[in-house]
Amino acid sequence: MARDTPAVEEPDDDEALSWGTERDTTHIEAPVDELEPEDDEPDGQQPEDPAGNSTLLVIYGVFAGVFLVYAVGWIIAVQSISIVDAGPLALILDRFAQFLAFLSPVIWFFGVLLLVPNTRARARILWLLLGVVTLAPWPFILGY
Amino acid sequence: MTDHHPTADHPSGDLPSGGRADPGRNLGIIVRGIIAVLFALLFAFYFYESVSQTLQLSSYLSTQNPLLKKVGHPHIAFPWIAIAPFLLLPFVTYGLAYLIGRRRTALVSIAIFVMALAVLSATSLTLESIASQLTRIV
Repeated sequence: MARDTPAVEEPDDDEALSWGTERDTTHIEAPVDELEPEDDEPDGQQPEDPAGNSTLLVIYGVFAGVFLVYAVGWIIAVQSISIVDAGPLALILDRFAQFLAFLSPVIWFFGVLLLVPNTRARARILWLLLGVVTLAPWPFILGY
Repeated sequence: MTDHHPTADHPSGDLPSGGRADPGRNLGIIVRGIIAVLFALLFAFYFYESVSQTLQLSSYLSTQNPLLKKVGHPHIAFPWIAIAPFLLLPFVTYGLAYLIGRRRTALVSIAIFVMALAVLSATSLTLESIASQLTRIV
């Protein structure tokens, strides 16, 4: 008994030049099957939570504010530090160090946001907290 | 003809072409080396600064303490609690920046070194001011 095997249709070259019919799923007016939501995200990542994202944005905003206040604190603290005259190169490097000191909170904030991936929010917050502790303008806060 | 067997380093069995080094990889290593050396110079300046500050403070205390003793003022101890981290910090920050940026691109490596320099600047100034506060004659 010969089985009825479906004949393999040869691709019609002219079909590529046609607009297709309504049964064509790529047709804009064709009925579209509803996509079922995918349960398993790639790499085991949790699906994005809009509420979580806005909370994170608020947290980053608070950190940005804190670091901005720190930068102002450092500008005030650096002005009260006198530089001992020890040659032009040392003077330039000292000024550079002071400049970096008052920019340090801003550099840290943007550095952490750029270098720690968005998916690792907890790590980002921990690094930002480390910056809050270490980069505080202690000479200004302690009144030295 | 030699057969290429899979190894731990080259699981596919593809060995580097005849043992020749990849020029792109070599260039990357050179660029990263130059970045590391340039930043090492900057960090070395911070170490030089901390050593000179320590020596200045030491000579200041060695001249002030005998005078203070004469007037019955308590002896001022050398502020090692601030000076020790002040001396070690350039090495620690450079080492951490090097380790974190080791396997990253040159641009990211520079960003990490700049972050480390900024942290070093801020903490050096903090420790310096703490040391001067601890040795202040009240």
